[in-house]
Amino acid sequence: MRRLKLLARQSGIYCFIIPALALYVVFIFYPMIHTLLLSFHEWNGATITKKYVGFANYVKLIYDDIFLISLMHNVIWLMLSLALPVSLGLLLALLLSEKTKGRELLTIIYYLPAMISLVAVGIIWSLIYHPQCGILNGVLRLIGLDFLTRPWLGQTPWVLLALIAAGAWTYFGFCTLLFLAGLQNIDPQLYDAAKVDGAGRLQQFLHITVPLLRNVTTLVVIWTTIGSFKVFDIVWAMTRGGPHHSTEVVTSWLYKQAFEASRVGYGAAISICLLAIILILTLAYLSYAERE
Amino acid sequence: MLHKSIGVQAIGIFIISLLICSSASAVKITVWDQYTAPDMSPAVDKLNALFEKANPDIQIERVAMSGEDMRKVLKTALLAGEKLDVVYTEVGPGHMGLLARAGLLIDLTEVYERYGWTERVYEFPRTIATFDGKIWGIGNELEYLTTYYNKDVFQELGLEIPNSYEELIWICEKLKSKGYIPFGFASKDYWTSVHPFAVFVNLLIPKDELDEILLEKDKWDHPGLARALEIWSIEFPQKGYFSKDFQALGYNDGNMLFYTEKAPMRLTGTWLLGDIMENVKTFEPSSFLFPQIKKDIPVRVPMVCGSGYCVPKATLYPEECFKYLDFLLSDEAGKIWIEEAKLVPPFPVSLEGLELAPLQKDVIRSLFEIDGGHFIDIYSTARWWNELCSLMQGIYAGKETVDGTINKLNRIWKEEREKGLLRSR
Repeated sequence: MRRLKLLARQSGIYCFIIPALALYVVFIFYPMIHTLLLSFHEWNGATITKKYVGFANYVKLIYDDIFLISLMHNVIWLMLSLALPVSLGLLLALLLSEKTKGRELLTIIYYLPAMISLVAVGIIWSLIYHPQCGILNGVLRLIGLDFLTRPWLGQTPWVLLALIAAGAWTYFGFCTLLFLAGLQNIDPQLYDAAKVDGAGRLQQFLHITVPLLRNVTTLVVIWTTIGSFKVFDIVWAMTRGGPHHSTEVVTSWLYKQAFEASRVGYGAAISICLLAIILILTLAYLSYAERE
Repeated sequence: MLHKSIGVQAIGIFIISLLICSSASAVKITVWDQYTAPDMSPAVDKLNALFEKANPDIQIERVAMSGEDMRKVLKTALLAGEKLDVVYTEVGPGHMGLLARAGLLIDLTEVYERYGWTERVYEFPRTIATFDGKIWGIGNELEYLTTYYNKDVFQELGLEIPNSYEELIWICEKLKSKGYIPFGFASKDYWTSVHPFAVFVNLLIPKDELDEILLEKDKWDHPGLARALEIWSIEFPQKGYFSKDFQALGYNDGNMLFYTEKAPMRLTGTWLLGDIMENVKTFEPSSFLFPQIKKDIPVRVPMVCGSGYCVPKATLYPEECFKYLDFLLSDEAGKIWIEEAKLVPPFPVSLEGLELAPLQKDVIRSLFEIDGGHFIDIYSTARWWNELCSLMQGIYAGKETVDGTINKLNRIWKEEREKGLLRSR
């Protein structure tokens, strides 16, 4: 009787797990395995047969200058994303965590850009950066800083920075929200106790806020890492990786190879590499964060 | 009363049954095309409606998508066994050629004979849809590269259409001295550079030698290639013939420079015709062919078909598809193609009685007078073409040299030739 009850309970659990698991297997696990298999083939995406080439696609990757440049751009994207939107998000969260008037409204305003489709963001920022009628050059001219005006989306290194800034605009609100949630979970008594012990604001921040925000920080860093390596929409909408690969990122290069140049096997190898890089970085940071 | 009601119900049921039977007996063919432009899409809808009226046993289910979307999904759809009946795809070896060589299309060689298309369709749209000696499609939207110009500005400055390269340079200098940007050119959209490149290649490399390179050789070893890159990518920007921020401007921005009279010349394709007619209201636009550069090489203008119709092997209704294509090649359709879709179909259509703007008439007449040159896109693979576009952007930015560009292009050309991905004689 007891066994039967247990079985009935377990089957109930499986009823809830199986649909999600099935979706995961069909849409995530199977494509991943299929991509891995494709990466060992040369295939143009149209023929029924594929030519097995072993690790040749991976060897090609090592000698592919543009892949390496793309990877470097992703690393720059990650570094600047950690430096700008994440720091800004933390700063804003700290300001908002004080009993600021209109805190909820400000949080919504900061979060708004994150709700806009990235393609739309790309179009908006392309207009902002437009060399002739864009608001950025317009404002610079208006305040007498003409020497700073430039064709933002046509000149290296500005073009990559311009894209990262547009990306940061959509991301800082999300970071603010996460940090704010983290800050609200910190017991205010800890700050009171620190104040009694004579700790200043900086000391409170370093010794209470930072350690107690560790979980949120880990989440933000992992999220930023993944986001920085899989960034595509905004790049594609604004520059398509150009001019002359100066904003090429791994995903745009992958797309060009697999879907435009019909080198599906090579594109699959790039995506497996991307997966491996994200996994390694995430696991490395997780183990570091746990050790700390 | 009751009898009356039963009678009405019976008639209703009878009509519904008739409707069901008629729609059930009609064959539905799915057509994927790329006519998404505001003037083209309604014209194609009209063509389809006319076809359905003339053939009540065939219904058309039309799916229109951009060329980019088509590139993304078509291969996968065909390979997955999607029951597509007619598709309108790009005609290059990396598109229609790829599908044909993968065995996903029906060989139309015999159909051309059966329906008399061999005589009806011009040679060019037939040739570019030919791979490995078989015809796989019908090229449509005949286009060529031309230089649109602002006739009013030319008249005001006493300028004539240039007959030589030297005269063109003189015009550019004159325009520059009057504060104009000679050419409305923009290179942010990476593909825009390929068109002027194609113009120069045809003006700098003799026909037989260019044929040899495009169809036989595994190397671009002609000095004309380097010169073609130098003129447009180095000399023109350095001389100030483009806007100073052209690298950050997109294709439409380049058009805007022309429409707003800042740039009196725009070198692009005749596909811009409809757009020019709609946007240019303040001056009279006209066009001329880019003039001769070398005395021993006559003017040859790169010609292309926007895309081409083909019939996937997976279709269950090949005969209905051929019937549809035959209708698209009819006189009735020809008038709609020209007058409403504002494009040139691949067969002769009398312009008499058609309401056409002067510029449109000029462009269509020129099309049949010019010596057609090679449009590089339809001879290269997407990989080579993308690299060319990107390398030209590199030259504009001073990050690539002409020699380095040629070496990189040759390496990819050789690889693609070895894999049999390029066209051959």
